[in-house]
Amino acid sequence: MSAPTPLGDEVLSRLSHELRTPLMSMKWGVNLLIENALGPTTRKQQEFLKTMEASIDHLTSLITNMLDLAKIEAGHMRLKRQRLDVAAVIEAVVRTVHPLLGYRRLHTELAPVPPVFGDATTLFQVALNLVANAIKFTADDGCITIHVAQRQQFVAVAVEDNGVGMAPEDLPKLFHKFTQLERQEGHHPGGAGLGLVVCKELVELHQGRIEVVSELRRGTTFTVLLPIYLESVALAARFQELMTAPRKPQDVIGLIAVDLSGAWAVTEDTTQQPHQHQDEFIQQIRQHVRPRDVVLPMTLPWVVVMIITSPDGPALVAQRLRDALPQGAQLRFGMATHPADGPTADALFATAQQRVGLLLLR
Amino acid sequence: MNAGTKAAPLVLVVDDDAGLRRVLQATLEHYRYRVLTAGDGLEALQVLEQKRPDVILLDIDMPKLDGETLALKLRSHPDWHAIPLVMLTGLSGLGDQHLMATLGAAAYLQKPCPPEELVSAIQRAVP
Repeated sequence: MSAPTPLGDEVLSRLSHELRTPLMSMKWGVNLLIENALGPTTRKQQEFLKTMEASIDHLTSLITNMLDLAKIEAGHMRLKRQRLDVAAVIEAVVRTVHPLLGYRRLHTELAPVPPVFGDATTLFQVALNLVANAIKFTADDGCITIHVAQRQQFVAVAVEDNGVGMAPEDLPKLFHKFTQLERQEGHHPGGAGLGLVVCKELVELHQGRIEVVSELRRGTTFTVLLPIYLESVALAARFQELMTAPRKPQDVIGLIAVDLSGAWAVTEDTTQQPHQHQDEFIQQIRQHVRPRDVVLPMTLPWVVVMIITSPDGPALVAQRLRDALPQGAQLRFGMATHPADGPTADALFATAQQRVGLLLLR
Repeated sequence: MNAGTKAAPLVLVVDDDAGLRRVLQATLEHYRYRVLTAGDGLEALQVLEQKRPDVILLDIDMPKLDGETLALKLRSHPDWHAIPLVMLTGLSGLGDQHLMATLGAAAYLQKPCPPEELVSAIQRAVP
């Protein structure tokens, strides 16, 4: 028997459109009724509308998980990995789940850890899924703790609950599609067993892994291990993304090495660490490049911008950055392009660094 | 709510799903916007001949004339090139951000976004 053929990107995109449009009509229609925008509703009607709204949200989440999984299995999921502070992601998740907690307690134990190489949106989705799951399977007076700590070359994010737990024989089935539904049938509402499957796939796309330990009626701990950010790995991975992205035949991959050391002097602020300055510069640079362009922090004082562009594009972008950034006049730029200047991102970066200051900008 | 004494901004909603058009219109009117609707890109062009909206809320995947083609036509039109576009789509993923940059859209939202998110995007887009 042959394996099912993965759905093409075009089919997935159409399917997404066909499913999401009626969902939006339902969600917004119910919202209008809840807001009494179409006339007053009774308390009983409000109760039913709130139930419908929760069902629509559940359906939306299910469809999103199904489409994400199909996209991953078809090899169409593209991550936008950056140097990422895991604590910021956890803080955002804590804010998001706050309304769902009820009387449950949620603690965070965030040890200082190095940044990871991760896609912020995707890792938020993973952490949110794990914490929402913990809430769902923990009693109203229960407790959930999120621990963040370094474990060798990984950052470990553990979501621990003192909820219903799982029997040892259930654990191997946990990351299989739709098995969760069978396990929980009659015990807990909601959950089609897809969320954890998507989480596992997304973490593995980060070259990480998920571990789980659980004891029936004592609780469960899911631990996500994410590789620590290494600039050589990040540079090579993001370059590879651009290499496989669609581009016109005449386009090149341009690498701009930005030397921030001149701007450092004019923004000297003793209250800030150098990497904070670098992060601020990166935020500013991102506002002046296209969303798909790559902006990466390198060993101080360097930042790399990588773009798909025409051969003269890198100089134009450097000019634009110099003109647009408050510290632009103090920045120095060097450029290199693929294929002319080398086959790898490392080679392009080395060439661009050697050329810093050689290009005369207006 | 869109408070203020000047005339409420006029939004042209372009989407091929009649049910969603109706819900979008009711919601935007609830937020005190004035609303015009069109079922595809060709209808939108006919509406534009009669009235000039302050912002266009545009679905991508539509019959006859899709949102991307309409947006490109608008961008090269002498009278309509500056009308802000808010793209709203159920299509998933790849290249969305790139599309937004190419079309010069003020915002790019995925269905089913919350009403507040769309209203906030429209508020930011209207000059």
